[in-house]
Amino acid sequence: MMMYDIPQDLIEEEILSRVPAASLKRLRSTCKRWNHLFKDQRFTEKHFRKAPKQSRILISNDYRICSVKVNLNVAPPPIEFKDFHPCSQQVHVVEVFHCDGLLLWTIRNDNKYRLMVWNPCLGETSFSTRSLALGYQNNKSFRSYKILSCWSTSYSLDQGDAGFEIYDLSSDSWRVLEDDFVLNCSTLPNRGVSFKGNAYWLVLEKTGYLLLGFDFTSDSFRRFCLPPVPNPRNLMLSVVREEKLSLLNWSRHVSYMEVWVTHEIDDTQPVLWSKSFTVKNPNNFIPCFKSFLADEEKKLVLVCNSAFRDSKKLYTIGEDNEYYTEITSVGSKSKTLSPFIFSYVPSLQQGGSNETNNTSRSN
Amino acid sequence: MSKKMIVLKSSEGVSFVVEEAVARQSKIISFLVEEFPDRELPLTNMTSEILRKTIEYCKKHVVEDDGGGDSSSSSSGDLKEWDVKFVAEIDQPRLMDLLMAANYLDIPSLLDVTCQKVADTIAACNDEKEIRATFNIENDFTEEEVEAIRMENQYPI
Repeated sequence: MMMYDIPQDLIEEEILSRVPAASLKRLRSTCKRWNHLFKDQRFTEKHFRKAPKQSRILISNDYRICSVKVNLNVAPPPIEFKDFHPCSQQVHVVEVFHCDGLLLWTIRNDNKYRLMVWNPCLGETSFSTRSLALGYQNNKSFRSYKILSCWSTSYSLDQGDAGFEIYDLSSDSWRVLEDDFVLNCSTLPNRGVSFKGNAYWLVLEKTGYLLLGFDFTSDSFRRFCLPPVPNPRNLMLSVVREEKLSLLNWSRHVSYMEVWVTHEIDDTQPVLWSKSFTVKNPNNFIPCFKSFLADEEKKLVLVCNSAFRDSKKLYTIGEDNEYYTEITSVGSKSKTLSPFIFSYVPSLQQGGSNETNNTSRSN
Repeated sequence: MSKKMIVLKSSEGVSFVVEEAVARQSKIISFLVEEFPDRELPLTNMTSEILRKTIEYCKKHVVEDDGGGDSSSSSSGDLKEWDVKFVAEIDQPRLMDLLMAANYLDIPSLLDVTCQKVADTIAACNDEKEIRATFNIENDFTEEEVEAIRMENQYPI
């Protein structure tokens, strides 16, 4: 089964570690040795460092996840939705969060909530409880993934009892987060983003809007400033190519929308936000944006719009043009859940250690 | 200023006279030159064809110390383009030989470009059958095993 006379370690270390995860997955059934590599943590770590990161766009809509194919080189850009799902019709994806190719899903099945960490290239891990975010602690040789989970006795975080728990995927254990950080917001939004291993949300506290971060290395919350925009209520949060945190600032009263970006978020310094580019503000519809993706190279944004009594649409908006495609629905329709678009990079990262990968927990 | 030359000998016994700076991109040759100065270096597991290709690559990538405006001191963008063309023009078996040569002679940048080219070829294959045929890999799975992997793998990414 040798590839000509090339030594096996050279094939694995130098060649296969450069093949993107999604292509490798397709080629698992080439031979036993290659298939085994997917379970070899040394290889997966090396692959994570070396292989090109090929991102794709996913969208969660009506309790399902779809992959979105957009060709931005053609106007209007053709958009194709494809079901991307291991679950049956009875299982509803309520929330989704992702980090390093691992998808953290909160799914509902027969009115029971279940949490599932799924790497489409590998397999799945699942346990129960409601989740908030997925991130990692950067150890020297590996990343140890954790889930932040929130519980509260009332809907609002600042009334009644509330607390946080951390689930460590490598040790398969839960612990209570002991942090005296007081959240002054009524609720944490479901839709945060993962950026360089930590989680971020836009929140409204008593003092105003801010960027809230959770550091998975120190297991603590942090507050960060937002760019100086007149109305931060309209800001939306997203990540560009896993390299930049981005914000879309839009307003009904101005003719353009701004994309702001930052490369780094550092505890010790104020966040340096810079304006990346602007696009036109669509004027012939009611903007009700919930999520977006920015393409800095093409100066385009993809935004999901779900205005009341209107169908859900995915807009492609440039400096002076706009197009939209209706987001097709599979199964039940929901007006309460607005579509959530995000950029996803497949990887071979394993959530936990091999032993805990298939652990199931139930309440 | 005359440049120091060294002689490399292929498996067929053909001698190649190369500037020392060019050959020293190989960590192995660099070591041998210091250990055995003024000696012809026999590379018994490299054919003349592969050795010629390796030297061609090293000539292009040599960093000129004297800044003499030689064409080999190209910008990194041009070099990258040249590398892509260089590996694109080589057929599969020779690419493998060149990769082995880069590994044997320890030329990290040549190993990089050849491995990347092979990785790209693997990524471009549509299925396992194509990759087995392209790289001469034996299928050691039973039909049941292939089916089991297919079941695990049914979700498109």
